[in-house]
Amino acid sequence: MKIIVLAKAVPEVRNVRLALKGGDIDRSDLNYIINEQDDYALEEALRQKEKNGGEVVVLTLGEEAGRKGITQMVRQCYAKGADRAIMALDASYGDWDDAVKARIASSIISSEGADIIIGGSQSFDTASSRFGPMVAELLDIPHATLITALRNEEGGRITVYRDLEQGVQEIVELALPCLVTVQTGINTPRYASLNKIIAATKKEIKSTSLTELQISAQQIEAWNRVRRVSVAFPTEKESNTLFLQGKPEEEAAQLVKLLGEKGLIQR
Amino acid sequence: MDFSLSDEEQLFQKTVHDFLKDNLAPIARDIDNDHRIPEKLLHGMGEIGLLGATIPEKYGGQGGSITMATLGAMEIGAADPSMATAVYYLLVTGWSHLASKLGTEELRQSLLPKVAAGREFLGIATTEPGGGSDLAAMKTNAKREGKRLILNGEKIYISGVSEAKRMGGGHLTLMKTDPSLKHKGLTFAYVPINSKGIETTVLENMGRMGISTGIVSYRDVDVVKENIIGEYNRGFFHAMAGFNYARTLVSAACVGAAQWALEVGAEYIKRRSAFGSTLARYEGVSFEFADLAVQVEMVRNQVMKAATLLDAYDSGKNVPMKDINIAVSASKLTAPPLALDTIKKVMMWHGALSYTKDTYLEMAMRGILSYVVGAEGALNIMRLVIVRDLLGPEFLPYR
Ligand SMILES: Cc1cc2nc3c(=O)[nH]c(=O)nc-3n(C[C@H](O)[C@H](O)[C@H](O)COP(=O)(O)OP(=O)(O)OC[C@H]3O[C@@H](n4cnc5c(N)ncnc54)[C@H](O)[C@@H]3O)c2cc1C
Repeated sequence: MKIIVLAKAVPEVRNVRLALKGGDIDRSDLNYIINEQDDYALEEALRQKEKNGGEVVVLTLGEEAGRKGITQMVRQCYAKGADRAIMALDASYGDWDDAVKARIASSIISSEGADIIIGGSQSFDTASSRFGPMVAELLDIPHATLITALRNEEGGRITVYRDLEQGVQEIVELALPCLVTVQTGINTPRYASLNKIIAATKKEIKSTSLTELQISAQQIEAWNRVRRVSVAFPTEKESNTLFLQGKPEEEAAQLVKLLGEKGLIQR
Repeated sequence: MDFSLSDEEQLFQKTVHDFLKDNLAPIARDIDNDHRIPEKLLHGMGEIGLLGATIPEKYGGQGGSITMATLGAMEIGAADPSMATAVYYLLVTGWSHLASKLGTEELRQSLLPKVAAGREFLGIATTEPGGGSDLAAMKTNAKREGKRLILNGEKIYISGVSEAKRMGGGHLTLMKTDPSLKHKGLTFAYVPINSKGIETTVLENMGRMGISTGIVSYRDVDVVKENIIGEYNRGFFHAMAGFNYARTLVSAACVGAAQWALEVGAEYIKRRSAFGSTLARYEGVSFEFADLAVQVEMVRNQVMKAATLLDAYDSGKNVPMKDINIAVSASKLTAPPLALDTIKKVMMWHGALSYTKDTYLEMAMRGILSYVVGAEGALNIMRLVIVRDLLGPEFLPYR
């Protein structure tokens, strides 16, 4: 079983004050970490490998300027147990629509070949949720999004579970090869151990480029049909904290009533 | 000179930070209340390679450096500022480092894998009822009998007594083997706490409640020769070498706690208002913050220097022992008092809130005090080391 994990390095925003620059956030001073949902995707891939054998390959696209942070993210994937990694970085990555990224990823995946491709269902920094499904469509393989469990079946199939509204669970069967995007609850990602970290920093990371993939600037231009116009901070909102007043039992009654009105609790 | 961490150090630090944020910080108060570090946490710390970070891989360790272990100690001190988890960690890590360098092959194989996995405890026993600073005056003694030593005496204020009894493990113990030779007649050996002839009593402490301290009495306890650390009668020097590792980790844990307190304080003074302004806008508070931030950074650099020198020494580089002694003693002399001072000032910014158990500050203060009053060496003893190595041994008061 060969599994490709789509992993994205996203800016770490803990203790960081974001600034804007041009039509984007200023990324020059940012640290990168693995997109949270992709960490779950990696964990799922590693668990499948541990059960069924095979290979886990991490694929990441990103900004050339973020090379250091992205490399560090790949090392973290190695330290957790990934076997190989392919990194495609480009200086104009920040201007690309998902369609461009998906075409580049699918071109790499089609020459690699894989049984299952696993990604997060959303990335924390752009939150479009389109990347995974686009890659599947370009590769002409089936996909399922927002899965909460994955089971390997006999005869080249997998079963995945999807949680829908109101506690409804959908069970879907897909023929391999296929692509799935995972939700955060699907497993508990492991922590890397120190000796694996030490080994990971010595392991090679394959780098590829548009030239190597024979993708021209014209092609990119033609694929890039959705563009970010600008980003801005929302205008400050008045705080809408509500202070309840009264004796404790009165406050509790008011709170229960309010939560009921907002549909947050059911009786 | 390069002040940046290597890629692997950064990755380890981040992994440890994430692990402790999820698994230790949320239960720090429970550890203090329950007087116990959950075994599940210790096993988890073992799995990610925190415990015994420097033990070679062939003895179940990770083959990491003292610098890495130091980064780990800072993170632990910040996640559990009561110091209980830090004490467990640094004893196990610092003394297993010495055991993996100087222990016999039998001892390395039987002890270190369990210590690294968080399944056995390893500590140190040097202090006696008659005093902790003046080691040459100790009374605990061992007589050679065939291939073994017969140990008699008593140690006090020994950390990890209950833990070792519960989980297995013991202490590297300093004993007099040739009384006429004073400090040149001491031997250092591993003594499992469940050995025949040992009795223990647990003391009631004011802080770092998650790890016990107690009295260990020895009556004709057998110490097999495989458990001797390094050379017979060279125990004093081996223990001093071990203290250099352990004290670096102690200092790192204190820096971590100070940094944690400073962050808690910064959050609070940015939110809390008085007289129409946030506390952080009053220089009486913000200048205090600035001074503490500078001092924490200075002491962190001092501790990292000590760790770097120890790593260089371990890898066979020509590092004068004097430089190591001074760097380590300077760290142990400054880090605990700075952590205490930081916590005290941050408590004052918090006002009455800090006097309740709704913050971890009071717990941190109780824990840090152990390192100010004496644990891992009294502050004046750090000064004595510096005097000896800078002014010369002839200026020591007891010579
Ligand atoms: C919580 C806790 C845990 C501990 N855990 C351990 C452990 O696991 N194993 C272990 O072996 N020990 C342990 N200790 C003991 C610790 O090592 C001793 O407290 C320390 O060595 C000091 O010894 P003492 O307390 O007997 O003080 P003393 O040696 O009696 O010193 C008392 C005071 O006199 C000062 N003083 C002594 N000599 C001089 C001098 N020449 N000039 C100037 N001032 C001097 C000291 O600085 C100190 O302030 C622990 C202590 C504490 C508080």
